[in-house]
Amino acid sequence: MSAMCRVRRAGALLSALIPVLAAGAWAALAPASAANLRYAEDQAPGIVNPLFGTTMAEARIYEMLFDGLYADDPNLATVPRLAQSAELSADRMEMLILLRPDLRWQDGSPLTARDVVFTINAMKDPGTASTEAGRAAFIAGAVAVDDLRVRLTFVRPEARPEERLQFKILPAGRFVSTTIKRTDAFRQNPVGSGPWRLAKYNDDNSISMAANPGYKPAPAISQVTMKEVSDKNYQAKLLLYESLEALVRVLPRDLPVLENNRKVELYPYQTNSWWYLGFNMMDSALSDVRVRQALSRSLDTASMLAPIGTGDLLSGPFVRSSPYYNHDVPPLRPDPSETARLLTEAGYTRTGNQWTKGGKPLTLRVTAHQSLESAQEVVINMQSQLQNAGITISVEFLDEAAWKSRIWGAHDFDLLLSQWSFDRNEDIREQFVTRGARNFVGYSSPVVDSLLDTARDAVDPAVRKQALRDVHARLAADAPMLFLWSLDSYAAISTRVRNVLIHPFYFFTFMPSWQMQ
Amino acid sequence: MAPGERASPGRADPALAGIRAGLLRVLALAGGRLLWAAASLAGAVALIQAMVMLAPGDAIDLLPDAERLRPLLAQEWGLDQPFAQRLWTGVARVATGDLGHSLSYQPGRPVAELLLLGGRSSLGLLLPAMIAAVGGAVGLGWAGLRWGWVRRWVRGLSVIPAFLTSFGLISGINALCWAMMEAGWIARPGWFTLPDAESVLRDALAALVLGWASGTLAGLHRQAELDLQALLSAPFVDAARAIGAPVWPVVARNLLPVTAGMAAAALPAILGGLVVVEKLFLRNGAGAMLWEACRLRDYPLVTGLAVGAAAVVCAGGFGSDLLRLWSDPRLRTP
Repeated sequence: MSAMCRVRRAGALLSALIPVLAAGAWAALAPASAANLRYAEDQAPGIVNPLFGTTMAEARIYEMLFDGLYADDPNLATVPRLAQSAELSADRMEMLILLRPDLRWQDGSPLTARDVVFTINAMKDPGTASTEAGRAAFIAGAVAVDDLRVRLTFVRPEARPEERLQFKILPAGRFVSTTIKRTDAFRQNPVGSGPWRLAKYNDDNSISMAANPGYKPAPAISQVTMKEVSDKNYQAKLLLYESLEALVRVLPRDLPVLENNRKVELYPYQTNSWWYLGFNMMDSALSDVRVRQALSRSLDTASMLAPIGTGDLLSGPFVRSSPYYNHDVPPLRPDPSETARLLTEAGYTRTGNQWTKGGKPLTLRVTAHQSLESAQEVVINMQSQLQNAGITISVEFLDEAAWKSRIWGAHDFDLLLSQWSFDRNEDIREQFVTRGARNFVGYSSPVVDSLLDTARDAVDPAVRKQALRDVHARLAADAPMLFLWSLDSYAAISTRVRNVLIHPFYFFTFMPSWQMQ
Repeated sequence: MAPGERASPGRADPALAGIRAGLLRVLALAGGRLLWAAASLAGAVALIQAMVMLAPGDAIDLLPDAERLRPLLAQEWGLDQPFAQRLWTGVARVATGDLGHSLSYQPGRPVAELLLLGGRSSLGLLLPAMIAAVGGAVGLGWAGLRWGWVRRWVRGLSVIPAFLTSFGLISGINALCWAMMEAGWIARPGWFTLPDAESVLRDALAALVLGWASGTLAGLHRQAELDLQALLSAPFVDAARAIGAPVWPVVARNLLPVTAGMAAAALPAILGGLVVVEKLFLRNGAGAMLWEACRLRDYPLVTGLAVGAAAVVCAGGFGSDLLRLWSDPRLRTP
């Protein structure tokens, strides 16, 4: 190639870059945006109305914009928030709640007992189709005694009703009736009583919030911006480049980089979330407990967990720090001889590298949710382990709508890799009670049903604890699912933010006390 | 007709006849295009609706406690109807100009409003991308005729997928800028960090990737080279050369219908590329909206966006035809 050719080529390349460089230079003159606390969510809330919450991103926004009668304190003890005090009747079927006298909505109007009654009735109104209806199902009725007092009656005796009264209260004056549509104008112009108010929906799907001047004590951070960053790979980068101040959950692979960055601090927090491998008990092969146990025994869960992060291996449906976790039941260890014994007992024979029954190989399909972080690594690992054990495995990933339709609706699956997350009540009833709303594995046990009833109705915490520990033991034996692990969760927050305390479920509950340099 | 000579009564004025013929041609073209547009719109609406409806799950499935809510919401959202009826209702509603309301993307928000919001943002990307694609193809096509390596370079560029180009550009520029900031050489620019902050740089990069990446440029470039080659050896260019007149004005004028055709041909591909590029560059346009609407099974929004996209393609084709008719008198002759 001649020198002239090289020069021409370089010239052509440079001329192609000119618009880019010019735009960069021009943009470099623009000033950086003013400081506020910016955090990222994978997906911006489609709607801001606590009656219709569907995602954790929405739950976190509600935490900033709205208040409940009660809330958690930093020790996760339930303390009054909008409520000032309460009296529980001797039979625990009635509760009289006194509201704080100085309460105001963000538009300046007074917050009264009428708003509390309205919210409960709206949640329970079948015409509203609230996704939060279950949270008020324990309340039989609500009456405003006067502006500051609400009388609640319960469906059955309640030991600690205040723990279930953390749902957000809405302003009655903003609605025509308790039958509220998802399309109600409130979604665009929400008014709450929380520490921040919604200032603006931005065109890039971000949401700007400004401190509520009437909130006491006033939040130290005056502005909060939720940014939609759908690609998780970008989120950690944005924090490193100081384009974000907070990342709700760090991907395990980003931990080392963030850990070594002096401008970012990692905050571990314990979530009530655990992974599981569900077995479809309506499937002919998996209806046999020996097959389920054999599958459980053929998997080395520790080696499946190691590549995706750190955490605790589990033997039941609670995290290890839960009071309901039964420490007498150890997590399963892989045991090929036990797998072989159980499958032989179930009528399978080993033919070469494959377990067969009636000439048909034992073939199963693992289904996982597309958005489950690190699911791909876990599924591939699991597939390899099960195939080594003589079980043929195929794999599929589903998006949210297909997941709900296929798994929840049609029960069309064999093995299911997923995760459950719970709030502080750790209510596993719907997951395991016969025909429970979330019991899509088809588990049914009269003993477990009875224990779950006992736990639900128990007034004495010790009775509830024992019943749920027994449920744990029973589930470990019946193996409707293989309980895998709870992952350690880390939030990453800029060192410019001080006094950080994180709520394990709602994340921003204690943010009014955060400070920013 | 010689100057001063008057047209005799009873004989058609050739100039007027030419204009009339030209008008008739435009009207015939417009009529044909309108029919084609209507058929395309109906087809696009039906096809994309059918595809999203046939995908497993619906907008109610995405809600917690979906089974409890289904009886009420299915009726309200019309999801309890048989497939064919839902499909027909969707097409019929669009025909009456009613695009409905979003179900799950931004529940309750009119689709027309979302379409306008997304469309405005996408148009700001689409137009520069079209200019980059067609301009780049013609420029590089001309260069390719002279230097063979340009052709190889364009082909090489076209095999790199758009997501890889975007990722490389974004990561490279961010890393470089951050290193310079850390070294104290520059202050934090307003566009930093790509693609999070809205900026001219982000939009320029997005337009370049949209116009040039994933084979769009290579296809156009090949076409441009062939057309340029044909033009440069055309008799009228030889004639211009022979009389010593400048060649480029002749070539440029005759290039106009060619580039209009290229732009119309590239429009569907570039429009389709919006889905990926807008997601990668975190732009909240119609493409990113379509992605989310499909994911969230928001049928009215998907339908509205399909209508919008089909309308843009039809309008682009019509505009290109008009431009060709205007710039090439031969096409106006019946």
